[in-house]
Amino acid sequence: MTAARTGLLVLVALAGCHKVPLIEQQGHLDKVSAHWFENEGVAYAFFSVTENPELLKRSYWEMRYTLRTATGGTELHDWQRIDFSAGVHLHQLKACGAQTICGSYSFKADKPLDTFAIKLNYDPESTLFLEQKASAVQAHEKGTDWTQHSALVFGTFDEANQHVEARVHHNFGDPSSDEIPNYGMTRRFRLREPGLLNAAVADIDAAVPTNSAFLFDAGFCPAKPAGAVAGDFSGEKAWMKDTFPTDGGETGVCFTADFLDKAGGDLFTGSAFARKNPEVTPSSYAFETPLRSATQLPIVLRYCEDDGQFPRVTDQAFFDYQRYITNVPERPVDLCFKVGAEDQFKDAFTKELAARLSAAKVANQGVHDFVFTVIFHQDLSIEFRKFHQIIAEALAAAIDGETANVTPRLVGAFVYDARVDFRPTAAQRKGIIWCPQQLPTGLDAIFNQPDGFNDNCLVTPTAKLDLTVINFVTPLGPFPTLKNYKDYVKKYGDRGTAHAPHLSFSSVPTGPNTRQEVDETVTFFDGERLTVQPGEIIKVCLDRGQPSMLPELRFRVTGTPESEPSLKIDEVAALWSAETTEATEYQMGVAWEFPFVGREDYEATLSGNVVAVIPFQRSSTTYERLGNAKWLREKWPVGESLDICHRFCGFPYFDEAGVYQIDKPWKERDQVNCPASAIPKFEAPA
Amino acid sequence: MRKSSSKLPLLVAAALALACAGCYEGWDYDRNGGDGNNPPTPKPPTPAIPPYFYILFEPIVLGASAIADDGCFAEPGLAAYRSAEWSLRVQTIAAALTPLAVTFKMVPHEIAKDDCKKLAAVRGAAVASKPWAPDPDPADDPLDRSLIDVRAVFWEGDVELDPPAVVTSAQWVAFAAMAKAGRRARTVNHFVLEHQAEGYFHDWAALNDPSASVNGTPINDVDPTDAGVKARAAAVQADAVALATWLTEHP
Repeated sequence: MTAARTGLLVLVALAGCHKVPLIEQQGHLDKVSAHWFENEGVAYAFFSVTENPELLKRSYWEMRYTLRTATGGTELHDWQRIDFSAGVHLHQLKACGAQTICGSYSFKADKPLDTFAIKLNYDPESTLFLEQKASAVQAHEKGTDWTQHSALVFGTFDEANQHVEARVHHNFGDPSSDEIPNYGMTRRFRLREPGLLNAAVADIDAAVPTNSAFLFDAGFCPAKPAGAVAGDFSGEKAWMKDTFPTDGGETGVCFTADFLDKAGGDLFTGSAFARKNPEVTPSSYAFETPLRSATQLPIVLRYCEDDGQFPRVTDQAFFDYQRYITNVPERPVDLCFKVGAEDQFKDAFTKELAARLSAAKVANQGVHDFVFTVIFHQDLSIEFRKFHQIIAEALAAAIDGETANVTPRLVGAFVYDARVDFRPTAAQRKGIIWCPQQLPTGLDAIFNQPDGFNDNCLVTPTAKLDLTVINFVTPLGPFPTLKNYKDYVKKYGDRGTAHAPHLSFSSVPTGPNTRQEVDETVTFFDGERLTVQPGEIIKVCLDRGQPSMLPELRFRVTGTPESEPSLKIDEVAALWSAETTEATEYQMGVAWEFPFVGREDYEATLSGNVVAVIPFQRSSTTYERLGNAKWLREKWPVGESLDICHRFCGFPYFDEAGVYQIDKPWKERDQVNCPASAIPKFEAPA
Repeated sequence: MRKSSSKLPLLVAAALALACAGCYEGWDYDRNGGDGNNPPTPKPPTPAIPPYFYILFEPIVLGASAIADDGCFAEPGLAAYRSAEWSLRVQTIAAALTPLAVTFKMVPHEIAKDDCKKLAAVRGAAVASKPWAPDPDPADDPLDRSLIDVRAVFWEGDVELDPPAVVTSAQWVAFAAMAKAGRRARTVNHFVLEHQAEGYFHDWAALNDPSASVNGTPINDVDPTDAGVKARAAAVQADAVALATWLTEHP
């Protein structure tokens, strides 16, 4: 900093000529930069000062500069007062911060600017001043390089790609283009001869200079004679009045920009090319759930009456409840089992499953799959899980045996046990819902958030809540354990147990469109195709729609050998990110392990007392989910999470804040999120 | 055969009497391991001075691989129940006998799947000259207390095989050698066998000296409920106490 003083003391006199305090002033010049462009023969200076505006009411500015002569010497232009109205361009001092004033000035200079200094005088009648020399002066010789013009012009389009807005880039570097308006400089331009052109991408890319993002000068644009003015404007940007048709294949609009002084005199001329905005549309692609209702095949299993243990390991009331809640209240026992006869039970149960399934297939030739609904009644100690294992293994074997079959087929099983001691293996759980299950620690906290909850059929212990004023008992879930059921009924009668139950299942039909892959099954949907045209690019948007469904999707390029696995979303996204020369058709489907979903609808009664005196009951309709929650989607709105770029995908774009990202092609934009572009709307010029 | 409660040591009898002092319709609170719904668990004697110098505890049970094999264990539904029972018996007896000796050594003989019809491991145990290996041989006791070999068998069903004499002999090789050498080495049998079966172990049990046998109570009518499992634990505990008590009374 070269200020003439470092600690200016200003005497502030008060009326009456009393003794006054000395106040140290902190005024200082913040910035002084200077540039000279030979192409236009104009020098530019930018500066700023921080000072109390009250002290600058009578201030004025002076400048001193030297020019380099052809002989290697310098030509001094000593201190001279700046007349801001005499600049090549329009200039005015502007407040540009807290107690900061910015200014600029341009003047004709036919020789290179060598040094530049500026002085702020506080008052014509004072000797107090601030002075600073530009630390560096940039002199740009005559030429066609982008760095040899004080400004560049480029064009952008409106959302419809019908109107062009010319925009100015002030090419000083320091200050930046965005800062120039703050320094109070206003340029004037004239736009001529706009016309659509189908410029080749290669030509466009070649015209973007090295180390620059700006398409200037657009040498591939045809030369145009002077005349046919499309617009004359001052400032940073302006819409042209022309409307350009969009039905052609043109990639943008060429136009000529004349850089003018404030009086309209020519400084220099260049050609520019406005690139059309990428044509991006969200996809409307969606498909309906493939789910169909499934036919239930109930099987009632109970400990054998002829065994001496029967009274100890059964409970008639709970047995009735198990049948009632599964909609088979009158169904007799299909098979019984007892300790010591495990092998016999295994054999009988396996045969029963086969017979029931075979009969069901004969009776149902339609599109409905089958689900075994097993009522398993016993109260055996944890050490007698052999029957559980037999049931789980037999059901899993029956389900596995149907995996390769087409609908109608057995897709799964639901078992309503009486205890929580047994949990099928992970492989068995793919086809079997075993109820009830122990509520995992911490799961209760999210129990009321069904969307985040897949595996269901829980033990939902009855909660007795004491809110002092209102005491009430929350109802049991529809599938309590025998113990919970007995405890509840003993304490509260039957209040709160489920009423009007309805158990239902749905499944994914399998057929020619179902593929068995390594560790999953994929169902592709009839007639559902996504075709990517040549030049199109698709982005996957995790910030839109229902991204949680994306991992469930699978894709196949039509014609891919059967031996090839289907593609997951990240794999197909990589393919979509590159333009192709030929149309590519993708089949879309859903991967699944657990082919069905179930639901138990029932009425729950909330019972309690108000102030421990007035009893109340309140019924509510509720349900418990069984199986794989993914099948609860009635629609798969895949398109909501896709952006499809049809044309101009390699051109710059407006970001979500409306900033034109001139150095970033759309196709390289954020690969995860797809914020909407804020594209300026056309405003007809006056 | 289980001894009657009239021969329980005073300490045990007193404890049981105290436990029942405030009973009504069962058990009011836990005095000795009960949970309020079940009788309190009896505790084994804990003498101040161990009556034995050395106890070798040799339980014979089916190993896990054999229990899981239908050819070895024909009752798949009882597999977990019996596994738990035998494991509990071994642990409970070990805990009950440990305070009774200066040195307590357990050498389990688990019958593997491939051996369940041959029982070569039992014969091997019988002829072992140093079953306590790698531990050193039992030393001489300055108080001249007994050395006891507790041969325990826990079995479901039986094996169609005749037990060899070396197995059914009153003393196995190691303890017979010590007795022959003038040391106070004795053998006590503790068998828990299914009562209606026949075969190797039942034949062996029949040949045992009744005065050197303190058998446990077989649980033949299995109660598969939670209450039944609790009752089993109590029976197992009672058997261990009975064995420990008998040993205490017969130094």
